[in-house]
Amino acid sequence: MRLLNDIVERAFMVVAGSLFAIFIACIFYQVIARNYLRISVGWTDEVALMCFVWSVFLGAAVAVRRQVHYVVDILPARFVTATNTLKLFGTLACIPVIYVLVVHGYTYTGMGWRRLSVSLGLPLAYVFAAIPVAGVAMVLFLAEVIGDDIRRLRAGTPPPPSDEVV
Amino acid sequence: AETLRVATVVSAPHPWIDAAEMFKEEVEANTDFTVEIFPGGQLGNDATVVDEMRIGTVDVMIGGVQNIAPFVREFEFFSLNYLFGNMDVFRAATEPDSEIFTFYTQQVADADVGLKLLALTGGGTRNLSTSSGPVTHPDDLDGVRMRVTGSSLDARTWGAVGAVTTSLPWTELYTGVQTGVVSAFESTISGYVGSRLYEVAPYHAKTEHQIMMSHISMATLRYDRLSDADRTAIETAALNAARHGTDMGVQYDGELIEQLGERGVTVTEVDKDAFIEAAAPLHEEYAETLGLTNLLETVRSMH
Amino acid sequence: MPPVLTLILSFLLFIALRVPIAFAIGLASIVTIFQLGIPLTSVVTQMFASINSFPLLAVPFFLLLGRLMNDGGITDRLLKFADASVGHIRGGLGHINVMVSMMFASLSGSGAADTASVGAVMIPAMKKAGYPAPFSVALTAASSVLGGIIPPSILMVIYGAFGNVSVGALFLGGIVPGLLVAASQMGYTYYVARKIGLRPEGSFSLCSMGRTGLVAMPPMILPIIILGGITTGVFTATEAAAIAVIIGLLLAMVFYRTIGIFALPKILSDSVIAYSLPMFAVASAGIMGWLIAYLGIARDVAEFITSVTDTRIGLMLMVGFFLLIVGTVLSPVTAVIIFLPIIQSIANSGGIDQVHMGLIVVLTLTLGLITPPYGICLLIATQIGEISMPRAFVAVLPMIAMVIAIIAAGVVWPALFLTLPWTLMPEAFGFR
Ligand code: NA
Ligand code: NA
Repeated sequence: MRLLNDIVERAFMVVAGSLFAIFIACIFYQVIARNYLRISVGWTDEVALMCFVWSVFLGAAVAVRRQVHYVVDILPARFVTATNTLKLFGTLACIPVIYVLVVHGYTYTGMGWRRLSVSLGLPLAYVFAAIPVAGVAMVLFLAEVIGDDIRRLRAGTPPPPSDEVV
Repeated sequence: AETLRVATVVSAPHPWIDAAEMFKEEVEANTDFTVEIFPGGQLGNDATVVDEMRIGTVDVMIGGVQNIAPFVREFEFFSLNYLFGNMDVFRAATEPDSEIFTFYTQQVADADVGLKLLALTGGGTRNLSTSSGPVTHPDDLDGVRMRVTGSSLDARTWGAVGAVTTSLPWTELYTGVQTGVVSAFESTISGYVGSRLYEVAPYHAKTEHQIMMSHISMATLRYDRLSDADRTAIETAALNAARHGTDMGVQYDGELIEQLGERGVTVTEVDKDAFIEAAAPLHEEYAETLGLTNLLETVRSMH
Repeated sequence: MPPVLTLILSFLLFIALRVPIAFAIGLASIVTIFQLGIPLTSVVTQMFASINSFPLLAVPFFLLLGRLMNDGGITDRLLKFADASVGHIRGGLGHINVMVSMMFASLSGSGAADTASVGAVMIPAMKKAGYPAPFSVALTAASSVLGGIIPPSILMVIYGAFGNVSVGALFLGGIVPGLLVAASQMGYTYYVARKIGLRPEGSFSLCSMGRTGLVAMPPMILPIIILGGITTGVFTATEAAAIAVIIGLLLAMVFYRTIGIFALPKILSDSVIAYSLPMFAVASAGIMGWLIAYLGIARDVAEFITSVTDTRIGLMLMVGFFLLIVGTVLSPVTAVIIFLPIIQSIANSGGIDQVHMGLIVVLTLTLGLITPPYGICLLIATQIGEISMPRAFVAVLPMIAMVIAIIAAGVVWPALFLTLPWTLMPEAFGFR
């Protein structure tokens, strides 16, 4: 499980980082083309947006594994069992949302074959697919997190500080 | 009574809103439905609304056909400049017995994207506006940075007269013109006034290059569940609303153009023949690309 | 229960039960959609629709810029310069904290990056120098709100783009309130330092201020390029963010030589995580915003506010109050996207200038960064300072009050904020 997830996470990060680099380049090229090359470009913002959407969903999936999605802690850290229980609940509560991402994301991707992008004429299914793909990865990652949460609740060890990435 | 949700991206005053209101009035008078209008893109932009209609949460939409071209590519046809020589031809083309309407009803059904075309309507005339100075001839656009939609036809059309086109979202247009990222754009007259673009682009050229082809469509998910009587009532309401929308578009445009002077806008008449000449070569080429050569002939024969 | 109550109450409940915020919004929406009996596919439709938006691209750029500044040692150089300039005044470390945040704010569009990077250095240092931990945490968090007020500002870019308001005018309008907030926080720091009996430390030397200032100079040209490029039409506000990233990269890789080419992939992929968190929340908020429109709630709020008052000041204060509440649970970007339509219709009905309204809205929502339960800057600072949220909240209250006072002054006396944009960008205000 952990090995599989390690591979998925690594792959997602490589792809997402590259997408980010591509869309920075797109916007940069757009500015150069308009101001200095004086040529018309119509596809750059479309490509940039597609990369952006994919990278957001891939990043959001990895964030599930790293447990860095924003949470609000109301209880002080010294209530170990209560905090551990809430943590498990919070993790389990993600399941319905992830279910919707996978199942309805798949439906929506199917709908996307009949919606073409304005500039390049690509089916938006290629963009919508980011949602179910991220959803499936979230299932894998969440399974691992649930296991960790249950072990921690049993052992009574305090949860790790949620190190926010900002 | 069941509710029909009608979505449109514009806010009042706009011919589509008038059409929506007439639709509401007639449907509520002749059926058991209540109609709720969601203006201003509250339920999303047109592409999102089509997706919602396919899912079944929105029932009716009123908007420009170009915005649903991602789903029914043949609608790009109406992005051709100077397709309709005058308002009468446009009216004839949007009538339910016209070949155009019949053709597109079939196209929308064949595209299988959950839409049923109820009526074609007008959405006002499209003109050219600039911040750099008055435009009367295509040559005035040479080297001018112009905002177009992402569609490649738009880029080709305006590139053909020498403009350097850039695709900017409508939401960034005001600031884009203000700072000089672009100094020209084309839009409906109501869009020009409604988004206060005259503040930053005080030159308005009456190119009248398009009469905005617009549509009233219903979600097939809902349409298929209607009784025959309700279908007739709703289709009739849509047709009447569509005619009303076309009329209101003409009326608004006249009123708005008149007010532009008071707003400090320089309105220019243009050498239309020169613009038409520049646009003509694209007609046949694009009609062929879209497989609509016959339709182009039909439109031409209507003049 | 009416669907609107289901939506709001279940959202608050899930947040309290420690469900991650993006998922809490999604789950509350799913519950409400169940109650309405409409298909769940709308959830993904709206998630996609809400992030498929060009202006949002500014967010990753500004966050990456913040990251480059830390890894590239730019933040360190700003810290040294601040130390040389204000370190000798009573409450020196506190003043440095505020001043670095100001400089950071003129480079970055978000507050959270500032809290994390400046806080990591300043909070331990202030605690060691004898400042109470809650005060150190509160000041670090509160000074970070400058990130969204002093231009550039992600929130202003988004507000301007979605609301058809001049981003340049909003940027210019942010300068005076930004300086006022910073001045009030430095004044308060002086007061606290005096009360707890902290002595001034070190002495001022023009020479070392000049030396550190020279080293910190290159990054300070970034804001000039950003503002200059936008106002002269070389690029849009969104594009400006991308250009800033390219320049930031050049600074770090070529000028300071602090980041090597092999460090880039990790910086990029880490940044993806950093922006996917707020953007995934924006995606979820899209569903909630759509449901709010679908249920006609935004319209009801607008009707309620306009029924209570119709004066300019009254309307603006009501909007501000409403957004202060909203800002406690929603991120500023999310709140702008959901409520912008009603804010603008209220402004129109009251004859309020959209730039003025935009400034008040942005300032009020930025306060949401330091108000519990969901104030991201306060959350980060409490983690760094290892104190509980309630203690940090008490310490930050006076600073919240000062910002509110500045906002109120700007409502009552528009010229306070608007003189700069009136003078430099009169065309943004139409025919007044
Ligand atoms: Na800033
Ligand atoms: Na700070």
